[in-house]
Amino acid sequence: MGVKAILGTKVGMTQIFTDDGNVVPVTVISVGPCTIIRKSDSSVQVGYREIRPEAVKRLLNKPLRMSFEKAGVKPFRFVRTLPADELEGIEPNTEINVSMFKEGDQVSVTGTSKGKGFSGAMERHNFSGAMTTHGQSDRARATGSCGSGTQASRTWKGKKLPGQMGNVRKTVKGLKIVKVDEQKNLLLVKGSIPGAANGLVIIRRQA
Amino acid sequence: MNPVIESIERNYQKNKQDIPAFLPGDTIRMEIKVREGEKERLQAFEGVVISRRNCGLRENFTVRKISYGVGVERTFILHSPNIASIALLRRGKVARGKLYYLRARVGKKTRVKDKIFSKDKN
Repeated sequence: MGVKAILGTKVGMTQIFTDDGNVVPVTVISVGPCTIIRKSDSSVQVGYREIRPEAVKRLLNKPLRMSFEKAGVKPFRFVRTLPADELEGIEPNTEINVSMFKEGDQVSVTGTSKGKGFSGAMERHNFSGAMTTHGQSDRARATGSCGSGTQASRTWKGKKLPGQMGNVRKTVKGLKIVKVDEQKNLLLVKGSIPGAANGLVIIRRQA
Repeated sequence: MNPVIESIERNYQKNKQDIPAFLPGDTIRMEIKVREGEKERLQAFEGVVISRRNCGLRENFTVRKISYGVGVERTFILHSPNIASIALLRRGKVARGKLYYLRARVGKKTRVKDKIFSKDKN
């Protein structure tokens, strides 16, 4: 099977027509090419998005720079370890690209979701809020009770409360590949994927 | 728009020359592909364009007609392959881009005035 995943950048969403006239919502992902830096029995370390030579000194400290030099590859902005198996033909300093996928494949896409900041319980957990009538004021979006009194005397762990929403690693599974463009290194998957445009995503092949 | 997405959408867009330049108020007749089991046939739909939204590949328009006394509106995606043809029948003289006011009208008031071009201007 080789390398089972690849790195890419979310470009954005659009929609396309199928041959029988149906509309399919798709996310465009700019995928790879990624260079293999090292390999183990069950994984490979790959680099994505080469750093321009004049920017290397500014972006990487010496230990990092030397680690690329030692592996005999160009310096990269993103380095990730990806799952792989049957690695006979795969050597360091070779490239993997979007041709590892074909139309109809199922993939899962991991990215960092859009940050919503410190959000209230209505936005974060779909609480319904409180009524604005019956003598209430300033309570319409409040969390409400945190639990029972004497019996528990404390708030249960995991209680849904306001807090940071978004900006976490999220995976969407079961996305179908609608189109593969090997010339432009583009992948079109049906549906939405986590994160904003230009965000780093990992595309994994699903069995 | 992102140039990458634009280049993808261009593959699915129809040629501008193939579509008559119709506007809200115009009366058009179109042929829509209808699939019935295995068979495919063309169905005509004729009416007044009451809105048009420019939105790249998602550009769409709404056609309204009165069918057996009942108002029927259908919204189409301009670039959809299900639209076999569009023919412009009459130009209408209207003062706004969205003709939703036609929904509240019955009988003779639902008519849209024809746009008449003066001969002096070419």
